[in-house]
Amino acid sequence: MILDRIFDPKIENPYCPNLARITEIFRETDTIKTFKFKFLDKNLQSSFFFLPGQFIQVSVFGMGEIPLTLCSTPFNNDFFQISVRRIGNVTNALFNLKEGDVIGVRGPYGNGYPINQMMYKNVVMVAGGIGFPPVRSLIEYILSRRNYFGNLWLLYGARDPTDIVFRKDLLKWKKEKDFNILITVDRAPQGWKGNVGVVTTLFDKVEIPNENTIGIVCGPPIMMKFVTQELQKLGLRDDQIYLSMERLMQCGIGKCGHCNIGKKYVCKDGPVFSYDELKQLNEKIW
Amino acid sequence: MHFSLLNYSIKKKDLSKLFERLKKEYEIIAPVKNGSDYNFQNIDSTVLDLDDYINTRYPAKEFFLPSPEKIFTFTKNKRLKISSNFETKKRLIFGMRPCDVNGLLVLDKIFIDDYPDPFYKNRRENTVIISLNCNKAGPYCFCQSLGTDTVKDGADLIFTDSKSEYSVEIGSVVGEKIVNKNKDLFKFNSKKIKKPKLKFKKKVDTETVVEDLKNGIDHKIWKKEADRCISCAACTIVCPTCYCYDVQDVNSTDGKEGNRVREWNFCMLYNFTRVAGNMVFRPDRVERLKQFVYHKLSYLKETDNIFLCVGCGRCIQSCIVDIDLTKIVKKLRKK
Repeated sequence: MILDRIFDPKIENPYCPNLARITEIFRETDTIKTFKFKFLDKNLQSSFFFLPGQFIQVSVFGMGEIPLTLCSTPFNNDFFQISVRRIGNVTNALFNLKEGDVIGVRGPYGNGYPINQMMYKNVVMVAGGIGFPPVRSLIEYILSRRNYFGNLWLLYGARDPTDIVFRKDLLKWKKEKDFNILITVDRAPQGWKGNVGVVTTLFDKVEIPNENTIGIVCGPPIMMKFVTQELQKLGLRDDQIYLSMERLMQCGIGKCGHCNIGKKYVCKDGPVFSYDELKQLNEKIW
Repeated sequence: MHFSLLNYSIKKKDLSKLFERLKKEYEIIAPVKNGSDYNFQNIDSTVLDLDDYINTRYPAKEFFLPSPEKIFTFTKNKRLKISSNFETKKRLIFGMRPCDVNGLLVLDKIFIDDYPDPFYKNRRENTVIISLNCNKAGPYCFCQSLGTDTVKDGADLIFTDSKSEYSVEIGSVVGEKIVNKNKDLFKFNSKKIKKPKLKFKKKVDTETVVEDLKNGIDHKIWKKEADRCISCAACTIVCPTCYCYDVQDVNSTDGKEGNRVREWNFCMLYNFTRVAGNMVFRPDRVERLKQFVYHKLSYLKETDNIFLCVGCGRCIQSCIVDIDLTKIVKKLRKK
């Protein structure tokens, strides 16, 4: 019996989500939608703060709960956004919701992107498919604090032209100074004038200095593996490369065990890890 | 431990009298013999048969982390409502072996120290633990090498078998209160408590195991052992410190209300690391076996300086294809 801690029935249940209302749904592609939501509790809405790269646990009551990374700017507390690909049971249920419906949100969890490490440095962001949303939050963060960062690159790979998300944002960011945006698609129909090929093919088209540069990678494991190799070829050290790891976190607080990679928990120690950290783990990451 | 320097003793035949009194306040759980196995059960009759009790087949973790367990209820009427409550039943577990008491201390580290889990914490605080020292080591035991063969913390009373009576040490204020309230049964004992010397057939070299595992990640023994593994997860089911779980929503038939429920899940199962899109991060048995052994003997030693394994040997006992983690880590040292 633990005597120094007396049970307090008012203790918060860390698994209970806060209720939030979906205020806007935007259909990005056939399989990806972006949801705007607001907490029902106004105090929570104004005090909720997250860092780019941190995740939340989203509940569709009756279906379950999944981890999703916020994709909106941390500097706007009017609303928060998540971007979701319809792929499993809960995301499918999310797709069936309408504006005004209520979901559950708890968090934010995890470490988020290493902003301190990135300050006064060039940032190369490489995103693949549905790995783009977390990077969008980071871009918005950097653009709001533009003077604190060096040159920016965004290399974005999508399956095909219809799978490109955040089109408005991409157009908006194109106007930014010292921000190089390159997009490629794996497959393209006739008439597509852009790049075709996997995202690593974009590295031939840019010149990125290896000094004072941080690489941010988010996408499927196979893509992260080859992008890491490209960044190493550029001359980036392993501690200059940051990867977002995907696991199905079910608790978010280091208990359920689903996100264990070696001695690390993706939910508590991640989801963003430097490649230097990951390669020292006693477990293969891809 | 050594909460109190005074030791007591209680006659074995008086134990049922003690339970009879404690029953008014606590639900009493003790090892009960079914066939050749002992298991922790809620006991009605207060007479115990512990003649050939080595340890229970299953640990007592189900009394702290029951599966399934409701973590909240939601109702979908006009407005969505969430509510949760915590069980406050008082329990007394008698006869927990030192390895299992130490196993609870490991679970405390995970469920109480960092982001407290109110369900576990609440049960832990409402449960009195009477530990019973071992007379004999079982064929699978290796607690001695992990230092979990004695109870230093975590039990309210520590009993040691000495012929017709139990020597009693006090481990907490609650334990002391139980003794003081039943002074007619507990006699003051001035003799030094004699603890039987146990002989172990199995051991783990704790000095080198973390290093051995680090260097032996690609050792051929892993594949050899994993090829036999049938992915039944028995090792993880019976482990007193395996705590992983799944979270699901269970709905009423009309869909108007439901519970969010957690159930044990096990890293030895293929589906454990599955994510959306059917990506599985540990598709091969060998990776899952490594996860189990490394988690037990390496990961927490590196991060929190404790072993997750308490040497109860249940995983060895329950493996029908004879995978033995003490043998694996021993072989890692040989090239």
